[in-house]
Amino acid sequence: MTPILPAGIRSLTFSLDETGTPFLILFAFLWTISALYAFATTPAGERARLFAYFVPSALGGVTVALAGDAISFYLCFALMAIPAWGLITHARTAEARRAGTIYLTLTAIGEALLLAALVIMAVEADSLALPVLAEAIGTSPLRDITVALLLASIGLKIGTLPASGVLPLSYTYTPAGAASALAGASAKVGALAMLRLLPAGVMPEEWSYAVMALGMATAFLAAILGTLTTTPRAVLGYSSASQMGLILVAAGVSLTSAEAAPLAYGAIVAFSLHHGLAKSALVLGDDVVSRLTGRARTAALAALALPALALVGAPLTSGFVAKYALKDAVHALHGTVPEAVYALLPWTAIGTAALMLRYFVLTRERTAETHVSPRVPVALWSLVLAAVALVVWMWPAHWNVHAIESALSLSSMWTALWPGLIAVAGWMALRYAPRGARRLNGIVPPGDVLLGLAAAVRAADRWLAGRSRSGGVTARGERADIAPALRATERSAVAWTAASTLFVLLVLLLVALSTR
Amino acid sequence: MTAWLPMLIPAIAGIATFALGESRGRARNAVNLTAAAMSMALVARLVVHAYNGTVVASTIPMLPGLELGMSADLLGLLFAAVATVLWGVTLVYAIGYMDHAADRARFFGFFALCIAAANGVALADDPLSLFIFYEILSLTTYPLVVHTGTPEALAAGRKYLFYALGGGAALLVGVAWLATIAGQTPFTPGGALTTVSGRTAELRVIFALMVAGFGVKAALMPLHGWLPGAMVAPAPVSSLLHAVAVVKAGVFGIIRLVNELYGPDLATSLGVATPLAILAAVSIIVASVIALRQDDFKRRLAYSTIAQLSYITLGTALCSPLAAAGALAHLAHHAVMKITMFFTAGSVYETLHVKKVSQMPGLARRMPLTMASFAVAAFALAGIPPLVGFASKWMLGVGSTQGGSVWALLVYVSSGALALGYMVPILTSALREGDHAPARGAESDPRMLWPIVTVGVLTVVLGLTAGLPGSPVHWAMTAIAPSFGGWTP
Repeated sequence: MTPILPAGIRSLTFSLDETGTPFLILFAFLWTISALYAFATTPAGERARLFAYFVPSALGGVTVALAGDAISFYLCFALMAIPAWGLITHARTAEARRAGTIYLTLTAIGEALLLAALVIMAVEADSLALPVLAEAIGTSPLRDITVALLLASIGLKIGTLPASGVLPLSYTYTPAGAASALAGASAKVGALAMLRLLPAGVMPEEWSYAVMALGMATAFLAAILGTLTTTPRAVLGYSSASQMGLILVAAGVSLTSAEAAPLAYGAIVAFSLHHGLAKSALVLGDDVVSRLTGRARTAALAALALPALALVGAPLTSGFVAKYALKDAVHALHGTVPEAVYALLPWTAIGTAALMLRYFVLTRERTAETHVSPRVPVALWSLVLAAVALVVWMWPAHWNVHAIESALSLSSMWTALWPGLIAVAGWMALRYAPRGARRLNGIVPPGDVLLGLAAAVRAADRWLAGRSRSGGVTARGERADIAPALRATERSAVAWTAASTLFVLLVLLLVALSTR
Repeated sequence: MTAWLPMLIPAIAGIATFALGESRGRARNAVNLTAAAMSMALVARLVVHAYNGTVVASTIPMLPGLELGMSADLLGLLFAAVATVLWGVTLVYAIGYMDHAADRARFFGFFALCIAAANGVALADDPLSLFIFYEILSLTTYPLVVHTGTPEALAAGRKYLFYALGGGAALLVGVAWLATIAGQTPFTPGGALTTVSGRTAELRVIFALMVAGFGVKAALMPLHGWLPGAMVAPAPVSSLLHAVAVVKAGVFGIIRLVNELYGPDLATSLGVATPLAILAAVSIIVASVIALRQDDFKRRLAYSTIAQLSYITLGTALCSPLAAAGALAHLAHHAVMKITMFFTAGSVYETLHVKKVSQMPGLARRMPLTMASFAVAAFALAGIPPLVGFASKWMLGVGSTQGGSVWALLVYVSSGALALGYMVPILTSALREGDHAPARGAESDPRMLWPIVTVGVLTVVLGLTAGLPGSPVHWAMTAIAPSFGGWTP
């Protein structure tokens, strides 16, 4: 029997390996913190409703790092992604419901693409084990379609253009605790999928360049969308999409060059850890700030600077390490496109810095809601902040060595600083901007083009419904015309004699035919 | 003689039910339940025999040169087992559902006769015997479809009868034509038409006629028109007959036709398999999209059934061993999932008169166990592991890819996404806050509730055990292997 046939529960294998370890630790930490946070901040009457979705989602979200074969990976992926709908729609408002529907639609599509890719990979490898899959697909004639399926599926998960709106949609309406897990851990499953499934060093250069270009485009455009959106959480969503675009650049590097692949993988892990922790801290931070007043509020606003600066990649923050790892990976490639990407990378930090400023302004404007004691939220948040400050620097791996070496060199500090300074200068300059420019504030609703797409689908549906309803009327009219006599005949046909007569006729027909 | 019993026992139970009449309800229930238990035990015994390589078979001469044959092979037994086991479960459900209905003797009598006919289709040894039971199945279902006697039911019944008899006629012509050029052709794994040489044009036309005949019950588009209408029948009828026996008789016919009458090689070389596959693929996508837009609960399930039946047709038409086995396994898997859903539809209608998805808010609190079972079946249908639907979808996908038809894999996965699309709104609607107050006491008649929970649990258990010896997956692979001579899974 080939090992790719269903073998019941036995075909699910879980094991911890080198790739899975950082993700397991990240996911377990973030889901635990967010569970505690959600428990502390959700009113007792709503906890059951929230945790009915939270628990399966967390279960899938953590065990996905342990999944050792195609089927358990797909299972965990689905187990995390589908119940997350219940977290997004928890608020039970029309917007939340709409966000949930869009999220679930994209999730269903992403799952389908992933499943198709996994099936092809399993067939080509004649195995379900994840390490074998990526290797086998590299030499298969179905390589291109499979990689395309994988990239599309991962892209939907991490909010690559044109689906960047999925991340802000999934954070904006979700209760803070749950949102921090979605922000920190959920999209990182896409990063894990890159490491687990994408083949390394086998794709033609054009593929790699296209993916890198798409990643850069997402990094820039999502930042622009984010600065023009409405709520702190939505800003963070677009910032995630932008940062995940950078992860996609690293994935692009790994596709084409086997030598650069270890560096690219290091960058993906570094980015996942750094961004997962920092983004989680920012999502919680916005909620923590709204629970505080007076000096504590000011202190919390100040503490937000730590994860915010980390995202920008300021010196001595985790983002500095992650960006260093990414630059090293891109630098390992030669050619016009990688060199252009390398040159453009620091500029993405301007976008991030602008997003962080916007986030900060919006958070500062939030009115205080002080009905729950802030002690537990603040304690949990401090834990995440501590992790943001330390984990990426202290992680025993190859990808932070170079960054640690050059952490205190002035030139690298300057490289990390100037984009932020440009953003601050731009923000200052904005005060003198004409009124027309300021009106752009908040013109992007969380979800951008996806909302338009959803509206178009609804309109098409209404139009079709209107047409079929008018069709239905005529059909009913025709039915009414049927004479009662016919109906009586129908009724008598129900009688068993009719059935048996038909049966006898049929047998006679058969006999006639067979004795021909 | 034993090979006839799976057909005869329900038939006798049906006749006894008629004889007992309307008033003796307890005796009627006892007769039917006993018959179901006996059939299950019998089928189980035949399965053990077949697994050990002994196929129990028997023929009776009808006319000179014309024999009716029954053969309890693994392929047929899979369908017979599905029909028989789910008959037992549905009986319990129907006794609860029809508690206050009229004409119960007629109902249960024809119900048993339908199962007899379905088992006849399952175990029939040659095209002619299969045709006869196939026609009996059409005729005995008609009274069930029109059971309520409302104008709507009668209109649906008439439509059903026209489609069924039209399909039957096409099948008959095909069977008779084949008999004139090939003589007796008992089903043989890998193909029974070895004696025919040349005559490719005729064989193509015969194949098309037979597909048209089976395609009506298999609801292959554009022959599906009767199915959504026939959902006016009482829920147990929709459940068993339109999710299990009738429609599965159609796809089972196609499985026999492709694998054991023409054989995968001949079907491929004649060029008839690919058009069938394309037709099935179109049916899958079109029916799934239509299902997205149905507000009527049972109609939505009906269109989902059309799509899922075409999973089986497509898997069979790909003529790749694993896809064919996946198709056969899906015959069993889909039956379990869809019967859970139709039971649910019946139960929410009978308990709360909810017929539409838009009337469901509050339902999850009002009928938690029912809706939880439904949710499990819905996710199984969408192919979420480790539930039962995933196992067959995986096999179908792997089989498609191995056979070089990546396009079919893409059809399967898109249909899985669409299934989420038409199933999840039912769940989200039920989860909303709404008019139905939380249940006090039992959520519904226990005779309806427990069958739902049973089949719901079965979708999990069969999923967790998929592939182990005796599971539908393993069974299907064993049954299909001889058709692809030498193939071992």
